[in-house]
Amino acid sequence: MIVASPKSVTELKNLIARHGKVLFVGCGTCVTVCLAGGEREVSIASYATRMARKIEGKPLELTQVTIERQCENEFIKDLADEVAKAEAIVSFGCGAGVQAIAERFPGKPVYAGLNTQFLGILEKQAVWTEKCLGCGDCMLAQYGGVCPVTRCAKRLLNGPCGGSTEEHCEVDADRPCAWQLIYARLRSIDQLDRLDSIVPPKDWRPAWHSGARKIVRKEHQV
Amino acid sequence: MTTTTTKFSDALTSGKWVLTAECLPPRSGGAAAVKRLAGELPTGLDAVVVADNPDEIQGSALACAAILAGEGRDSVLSMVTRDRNRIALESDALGAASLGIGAVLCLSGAHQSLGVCPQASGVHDIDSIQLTQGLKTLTSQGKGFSDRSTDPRPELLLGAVAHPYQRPLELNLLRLRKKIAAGADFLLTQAVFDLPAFTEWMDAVRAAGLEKKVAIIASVLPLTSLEKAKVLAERQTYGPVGAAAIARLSKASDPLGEGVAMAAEAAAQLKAVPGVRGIHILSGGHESLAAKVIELAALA
Repeated sequence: MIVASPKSVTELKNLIARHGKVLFVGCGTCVTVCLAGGEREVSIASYATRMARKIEGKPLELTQVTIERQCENEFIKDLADEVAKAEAIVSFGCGAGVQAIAERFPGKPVYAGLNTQFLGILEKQAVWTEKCLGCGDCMLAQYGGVCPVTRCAKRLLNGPCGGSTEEHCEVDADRPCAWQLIYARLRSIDQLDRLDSIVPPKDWRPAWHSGARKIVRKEHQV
Repeated sequence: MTTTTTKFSDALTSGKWVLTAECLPPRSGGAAAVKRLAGELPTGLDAVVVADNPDEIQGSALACAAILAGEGRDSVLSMVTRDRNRIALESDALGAASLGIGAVLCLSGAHQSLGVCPQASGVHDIDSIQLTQGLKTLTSQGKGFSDRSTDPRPELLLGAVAHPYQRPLELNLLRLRKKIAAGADFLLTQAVFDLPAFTEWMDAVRAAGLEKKVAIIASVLPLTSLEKAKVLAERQTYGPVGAAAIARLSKASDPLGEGVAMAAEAAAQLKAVPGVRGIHILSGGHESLAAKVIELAALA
C-alpha cells in the first residue's frame, strides 16, 4: 500500500491560513489502512485545526468528508457539491489523490494534508516499512524477493557495502542490511548461485528518471 | 600522453612489495595546498591514493590527483558512485587518464547521510563493481557505458575495496570474486585493527586462491586521538576499531604517538601475513603521519 504520515496541526493551520471555509477530504483506501488519512484521522485533524483557529481568534468553517478513493474520478466527482461551497480543499489522500482532486477542480486551491512516504507494508502494529520504489523493471526474482533498489541505501546490485553488518545497515542501526537479507533468503531457498554473476548497470528508463510515467493498456480500453 | 603510473604499475605487475598512502584533497581554492601536501607525503610511496570526499566535502579528488601527477607523484584517483552517475564517472575517468593519472579506485562511498552532507541526495546510478567492470571495458576495449569507441584508450589500473571484517565469509568472498571478475587489478582493504579477524579472512581468501588473481594491499590507519577512535568505533566504514585499541589509546600519555605506533605495529604484522602484497596507510587528513608509520614499521 501507499504509506503516508500526517502533517502537524500547525502545518495544517498554516496551509489554510488565508481561507475561512475549508473542505477536508479523507481517502478510504491506503491512507485509511495506514491510519493517516481515513475518516477517523480526518475527524481528529478537523477538530484540532478548528481549535487552533479558534485560539487565534479566526474561526473556521470546516466540512469533512471521506471518499472511497481519491485517485479515481468516479469517486472524486461525488465531491462536487461540497467543493462548490468551500474556498479551499485539504486532501488527506496520498500525493496522487491530492493531484487528482486538483485536476478535477481546477478553480479551487487544493492542499496536501499528509506527507506521502512510500510503498510499503505494515511490519507490526503501528510500524510500516518501505518495500518498493516502483522502478518499473522488477528485479526481485534474482534477489530472493528482497529488493536492493529499495532497501539498500546505496542501491547496490552486486553485494553489500563495507558498512554492512549481520545486524544492521550502515546508515540506520534499526534497519537490517538488505544484502544480509538477500543472502540469507537465497541461501534458505538454495539459490545462492543467483549472486555469482555481475549484475550490469540498471536501465533506469522504466523508472522515474524519464519523468512522470504513464501506462496505456489498450486491451482494457473501450 | 605518457602516464605517470610506472612506479605503481611496475610494483603491481612485478609482484614486489607495494606501499601506498592516502591523501585527502585540501579544502582549498588554490593549488598551493596540494603542492604542500605532496611535500609531506614520503617519496618512497609507489602511489598516493586521493580520497573522494570520504567524510566531508573536500577539494576535488580529480584536481588533486592531477596536481600530484604534475608533481611527479603516481596518483590513484578514488571515484565514488555516490556523487556521480555513469556519464560523469566515465567522463572523469577519461579526463583522469588525460591528466596523467594512472589508476582509479572504484568505491560506492560512505553514505552521504553519515556526515558528508546529510541533506544531499545520493546518486547511486551504478555500484562500485559495475564501475570497475565499466572502466575495465573502457581501458581494454575502448568502449564505455554508452558503447562509444575511444581513441586512444585510457591507460588506467583499476582498484576496488575489500572488507576483511564483513561476515558471513561466504557473502564476503562472493563480493570479492565479483570485484576480481569485474577487472580489479588491486584491492585496498579497510583499516586493520583486529589482526585475528583479518587473518581469518585472509585464510579464506587464500583457500579460494583469490590472492593470486589480484594484489591485496592491507590498510592501516594511525588513530590521532581517543575521541576520533571512539567515533570510528561506532562506524563500520574504516574497519572495526576494537576495545583493545580504545583501551590502549585511553591509557597513553601521547595518544597521537600511540596511534602511530599501533598503525606501525599493525603494518609490520600485516607484512608477515601470506597473501598480503602491500601496505596502504590511510591518513584521515593527517598525511604527514605516513612517513612516521613507514619509519617505525621499516616499510620502505
